[in-house]
Amino acid sequence: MPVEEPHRVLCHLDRLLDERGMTLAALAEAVGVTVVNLSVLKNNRAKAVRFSTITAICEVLQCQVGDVLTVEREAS
Amino acid sequence: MTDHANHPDRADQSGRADQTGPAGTDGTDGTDGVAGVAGTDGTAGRPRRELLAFDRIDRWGLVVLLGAVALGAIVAGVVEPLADWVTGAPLTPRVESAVTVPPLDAVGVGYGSASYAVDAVDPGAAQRLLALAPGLLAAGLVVLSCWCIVLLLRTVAAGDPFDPVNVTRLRVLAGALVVGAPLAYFLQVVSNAMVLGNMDLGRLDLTFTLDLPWVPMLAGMVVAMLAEAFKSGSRLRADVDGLV
Repeated sequence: MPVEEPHRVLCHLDRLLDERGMTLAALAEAVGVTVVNLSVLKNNRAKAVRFSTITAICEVLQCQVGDVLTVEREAS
Repeated sequence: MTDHANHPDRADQSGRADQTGPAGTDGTDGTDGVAGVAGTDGTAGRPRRELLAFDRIDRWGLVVLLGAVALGAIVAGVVEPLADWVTGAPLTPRVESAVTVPPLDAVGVGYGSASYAVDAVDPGAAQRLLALAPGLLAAGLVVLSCWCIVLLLRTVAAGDPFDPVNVTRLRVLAGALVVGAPLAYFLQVVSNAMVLGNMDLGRLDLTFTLDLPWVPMLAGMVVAMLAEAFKSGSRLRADVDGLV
């Protein structure tokens, strides 16, 4: 098993869905991935995201990659 | 960019289904030997059966076959010798000895060694145990190998053949074949020699011909190579774990 590499990428799907009054299931159907996988992304448990997935999410939510994902500042 | 992308409220009607999650998370395992085939005109066709796919029937067939092999090994290697012990049947170790013929008969004719059937009437408990040991080891190895294959089949059926534990299972299987098979052979030779050592064989001189079980050993090497392939597969599996 590869060593778990820590990251500080945060996913903001929760907020974006709230703002649009959209459910995770509806987004999953529109994007074409399973609710399980999208839930993994929403809860910051994903280790990698396909470009095609992020493109579809941004298309559906009418936003940019930076709106969906941000990198948390390193604690000093 | 597609039209629906600009209208989030209509986006859920797009029906995109070309992306799926990692194997197992979307309920498909791809091992049932059925392939969804779309017609050339873009319409969904009837699922087509792959003739060469190792499907559920094949898996069950193999499990039944492995069960029969394991049962046969137990009966031949353990049950029969124990039954002979209980009933007092003689031991019949194989004896190899040079063929001896009268000089006149041997003119122009080549003679080698031959196998003789020798009955060890009323053998002791030590001889019985010695005769039982090779069969016990062989039966144990066969059962262990069959069990490893059954566990492998279960992960294949679940759509997760590259589970890291399968590398260990394949290595155990390879070990049973590469090391276990010749070990069982040598134990058989030693056991035979020890049983025969206490017997009067008349004028027969024991000979020994090295006859290693090459086929299981070669098969074991192939399985060991497969284990390495599965190790790479489990690394790839770990890489895509958590991929969305």
